[in-house]
Amino acid sequence: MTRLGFSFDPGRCFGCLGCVAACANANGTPEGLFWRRVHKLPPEPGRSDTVYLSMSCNHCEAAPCVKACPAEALAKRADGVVLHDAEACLGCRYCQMACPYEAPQWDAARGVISKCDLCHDRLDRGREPACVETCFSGALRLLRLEDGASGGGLEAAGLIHLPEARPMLRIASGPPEAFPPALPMPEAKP
Amino acid sequence: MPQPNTHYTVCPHNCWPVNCGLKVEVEDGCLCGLEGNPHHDFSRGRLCVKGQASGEIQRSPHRLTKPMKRAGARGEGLWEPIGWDEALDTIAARMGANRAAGRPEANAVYHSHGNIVQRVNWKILTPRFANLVGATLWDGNFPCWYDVGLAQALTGYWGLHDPVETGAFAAALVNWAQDPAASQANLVPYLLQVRDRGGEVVTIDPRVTQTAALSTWHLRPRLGSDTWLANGVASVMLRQGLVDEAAMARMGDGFDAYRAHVLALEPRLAARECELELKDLERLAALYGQGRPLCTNLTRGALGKQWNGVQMVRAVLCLAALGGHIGVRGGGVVWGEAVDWNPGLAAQDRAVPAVHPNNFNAIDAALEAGAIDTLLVVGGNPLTQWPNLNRLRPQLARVPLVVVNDLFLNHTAREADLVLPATSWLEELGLRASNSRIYLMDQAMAPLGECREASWWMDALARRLGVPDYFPWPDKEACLDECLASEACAGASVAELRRRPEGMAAHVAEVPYADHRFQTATGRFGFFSEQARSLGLPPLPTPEEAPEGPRNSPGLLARFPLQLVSERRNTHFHSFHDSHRMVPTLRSLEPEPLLHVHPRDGAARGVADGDLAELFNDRGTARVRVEWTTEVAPGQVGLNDGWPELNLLTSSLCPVAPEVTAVTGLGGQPAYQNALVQLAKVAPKVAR
Repeated sequence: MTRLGFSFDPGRCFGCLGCVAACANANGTPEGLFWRRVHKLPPEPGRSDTVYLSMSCNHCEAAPCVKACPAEALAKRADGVVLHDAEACLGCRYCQMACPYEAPQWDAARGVISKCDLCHDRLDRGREPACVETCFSGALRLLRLEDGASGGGLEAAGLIHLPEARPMLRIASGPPEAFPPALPMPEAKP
Repeated sequence: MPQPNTHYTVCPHNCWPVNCGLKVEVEDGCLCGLEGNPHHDFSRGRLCVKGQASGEIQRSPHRLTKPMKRAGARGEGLWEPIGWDEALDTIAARMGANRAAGRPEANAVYHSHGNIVQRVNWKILTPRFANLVGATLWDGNFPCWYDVGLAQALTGYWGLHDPVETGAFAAALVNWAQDPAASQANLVPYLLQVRDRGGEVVTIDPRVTQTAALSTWHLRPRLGSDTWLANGVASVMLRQGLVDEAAMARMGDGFDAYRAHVLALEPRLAARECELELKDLERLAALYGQGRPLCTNLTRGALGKQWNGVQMVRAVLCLAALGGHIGVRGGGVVWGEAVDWNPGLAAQDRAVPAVHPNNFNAIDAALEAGAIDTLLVVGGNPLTQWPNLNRLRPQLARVPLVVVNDLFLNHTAREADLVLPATSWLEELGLRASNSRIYLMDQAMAPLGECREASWWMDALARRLGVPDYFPWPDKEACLDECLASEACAGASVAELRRRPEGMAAHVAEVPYADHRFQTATGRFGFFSEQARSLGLPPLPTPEEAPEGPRNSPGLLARFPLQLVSERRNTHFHSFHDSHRMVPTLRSLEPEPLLHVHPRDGAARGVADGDLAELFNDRGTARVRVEWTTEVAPGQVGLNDGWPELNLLTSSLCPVAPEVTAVTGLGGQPAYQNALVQLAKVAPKVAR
């Protein structure tokens, strides 16, 4: 079965935060609680330019948050999406301690955890996650890995803190297919 | 179950030259969904951080919903709700008295981005009001690009070409002092398209900008050395025979004089002035002289905020011409809107004589002299966006009646006499254009409370002033249909646009200036500008150091050794929505003014990353949060535009005299980028 995650091209991200706000807009997260964040990294050797990294939940294949949850509030779907059930959440925050990517966010008002669900309701309707759909540069994309494929490349970018978690985040490079995407113009409405 | 109604409009932020398309869902009079319009031919369903958060403007509990008058001293924060009649009677009494006294110019209307985002307000309905009732009109574009515009007018070249064409056809793109990635993220796909095709994407900026992160080459000249740079590169091109000189002589006025002027500049000297290597200038010359279309993104803004800005822009325009990039597909210098509305409706023939021209020197002088009696601020916020706020505040206090029309209270409204509640962009019918297309901004909801759109209260005010025909149309749709009666908009109507969420193509030149006809007196490209000479300006692009800067003011430099650079960030559209504090997503992403400081400068002052610090000069003191970063050069600090803290420190000096603006209608940008400051740690409070 196809496993889902994100791929990201640091050579195309320019730190606009559109993905962060798109996520908040589509998912209605409370003020100041963001499932996705953009980090500024120091320049690569020999360059002066900032590198940006947009990151949310990486929907790890061996998700440490799922293992850490004592209430089974976190679970992995067959397609790889790590889902959180706020009704079952105890608010123990063990998942926050287990996650190397700071993906689970604390919703102080409700006393529960809140996290990226890869916009699975949008995926089920044939749309891409809100953060991916709004990305002006094509840096952030939906990753679809077929059985057996490992993708790879993440280690080289030095972004893995916990390799055994096997995060579903791959480093892409080069333009996405058909960029900027050319949508067919609709017929005029009668 | 009732289905939500879908409406198409555009984003309420006033990006240039294109606003992204929006699709909104309304159910039971409430906004229940807002996302990018996937049919919009330019933005294709995408929105930036501001656009994604724009639903929060509509849903805010802090909107102004009733006219109010102050119930205490100005700035005390005490307000009393009043009816529209009382508000408009108050304004009409003063404006009428000024007219009766033969000084209509003492009535001033300042309209800015919040109003002009509606294009017919900018071009037609607000000028029409000022002209028919008799009032000085100040356009909020003057702080943005009026010196750039003056340079364009003197050269006879406005550019206004299409970023889509750049993406498709440019062999190279030079972002000259522009950071579209931070200010207009929707341009990035077209920038990356050039890079993806193997083209060079260059950023010329002393700072490490977000656009620099996407560029193949980042050139960091000395701040304010751009005229040296452009002339130096031109000198290299001429010396290396990279110029079709016969073609230049055919196209332009005074090419020989320009040629001699730049050849007199030794490229090595130019490089030294820019604090660059000669090989940098040679590489840029090779790029401009390679004979394939190169686009220079000089799209409004940054250079005009420099003391030497008019000359910098003139120098860059001439350089682009020299490489043969004017009037060719994929070339050009300024991206922009090229769609004109019905020009006859603005009643320009009845404009008040330009006693106080749209030039900051003139505005400053008029306010200082107490020559303005009634000031209507429509969708603007001078008390964050005009320079030198500690000078401006007492000047505004001397204006007997200050009225602010906006969505929220803001820094200016809090010190006004009357506030008028504005409709949001979803509550009014409007029009927008890109370079070559027209879009409807459809009305999706009824106005909140007693909010009314500007043309409604302008009409009610005009009637009180004895002008019955300001708004002669039965409704807004009929008004917009007449605004669309222009050559560019032929075939477009509100009804037709409503059927087309993808917008309609306007009738504009496919490649601007392909015929090499320019808007000068001779119709030729102004290498040498006779008009500039007659106005007392250098006729050839000539460098000049700013009066307040490291080279010209050693005394100031000893006390204020840092140069303050204003930056743009994605989370702000200038000071919209009370410096974005009314938009929860934006205020949580940028909760306070953040000053970029080079670690060397921070360490030397004991100011650490994350510290609260004071930034100051003789004009004021601003409290800012410090971020250590090598994105700014040592000796420079960067602060985001949109927070009042920036303009506490900027200078109200502007290089272009009001007399020039009175003749050309352009110039008068303050030299925002030429300010010296010092930074100090905030002393911890001592416990008693």
